[in-house]
Amino acid sequence: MSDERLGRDAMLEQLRGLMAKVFGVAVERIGADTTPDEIPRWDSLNLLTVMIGIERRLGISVPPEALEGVRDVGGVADAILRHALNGAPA
Amino acid sequence: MAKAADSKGDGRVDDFQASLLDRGVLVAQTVPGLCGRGDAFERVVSGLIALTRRIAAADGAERLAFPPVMSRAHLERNGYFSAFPNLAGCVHCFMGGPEDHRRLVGKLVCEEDVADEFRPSKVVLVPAACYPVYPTLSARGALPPEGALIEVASYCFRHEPSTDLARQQSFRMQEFIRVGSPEETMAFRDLWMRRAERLCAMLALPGRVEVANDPFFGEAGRDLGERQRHDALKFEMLLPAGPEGAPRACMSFNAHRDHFGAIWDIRRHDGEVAHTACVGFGLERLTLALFCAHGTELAGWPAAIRDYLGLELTGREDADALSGVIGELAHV
Repeated sequence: MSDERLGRDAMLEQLRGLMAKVFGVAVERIGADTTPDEIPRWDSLNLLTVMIGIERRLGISVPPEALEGVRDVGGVADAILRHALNGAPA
Repeated sequence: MAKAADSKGDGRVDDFQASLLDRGVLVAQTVPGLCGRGDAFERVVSGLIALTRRIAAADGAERLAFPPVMSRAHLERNGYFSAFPNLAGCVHCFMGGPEDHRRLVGKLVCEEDVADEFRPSKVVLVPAACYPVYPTLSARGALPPEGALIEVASYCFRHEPSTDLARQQSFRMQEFIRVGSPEETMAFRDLWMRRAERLCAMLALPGRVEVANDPFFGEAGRDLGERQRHDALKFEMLLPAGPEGAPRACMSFNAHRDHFGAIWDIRRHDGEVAHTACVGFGLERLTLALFCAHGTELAGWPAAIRDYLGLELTGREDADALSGVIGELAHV
């Protein structure tokens, strides 16, 4: 497993925990391929709250435009990692 | 010490406070010293308020009402933070901008303590119903020759978390406050001590009046308390209301001398600093005392007591006779 892969798994774990708390669902319901359609409380405001939690925990500040077009939880994790690596949206 | 009344008729004396929760008279909450009130409890509280108002009706008190929060500056001026800092409750609010909000949300999401994100506002929780009255009187200017008599009721807060249901952090207090000469205020305080003893007899409550002191904080506070007792400025009506019927102060009779008059520059018509006195009814504790004495089922209470409290028509009520008893009590 590559360092990049490890980073993505760790980020997914962080996201699953925060999303479960903010979206009010069991953490088991959230996986990399979970989409907003499957989570009733996944909206822009709650996703922003999740991103604030990421910033608080990991020190990674992700602007909302970095998340445009993401389709699932894995896409959110990838967007955060890209932003962390490049310092700007990909 | 009086024991809790048997609520089941089988001779067994329950832990009366537990039975209040079991029967829904009170509603438990997660924070010690906070509980909800059921319908039976509220009916008794309403009855007590109405009864004390009827007793005081001929006195002609001016009724005022204030929110359960008051100016922090006013409470500070009253000396409350010096005397009772441990009991005070200050209202803290979020006063930040977008970046502060972002930090607050981040802490919430990460389950961190957010207390630092809130700052003291200009209001505090009212610790005694009479406190907002003094600045109000001060703003009116000199008193008329007859002085002033104010009725006020409010939710009050004192930070003393406890599992004793008779020691609520948030509770209602009904007060009558007399403002005038030293003689007028002492006579008022003594009148209400006599009335209170008769009131307890009416309600079949086994009360006793004792000299008391306010719970001043710290070493210096102990001296203040001892002086207050020595000068017999404060008395309390103790009634069985605590766990297993332990006595609790349910009413207080307080002579402040010129303490509040001097702080707020309340002047009599002749220019002298006014004296003040107040009588306070702890409505939750009085209600608990009634449940302790008569059981948790209102239907089982003596008919006369239900009548006095206006809980229901029992068939024996004679409105004129009832008014007569209460009217007599007003002039003891």
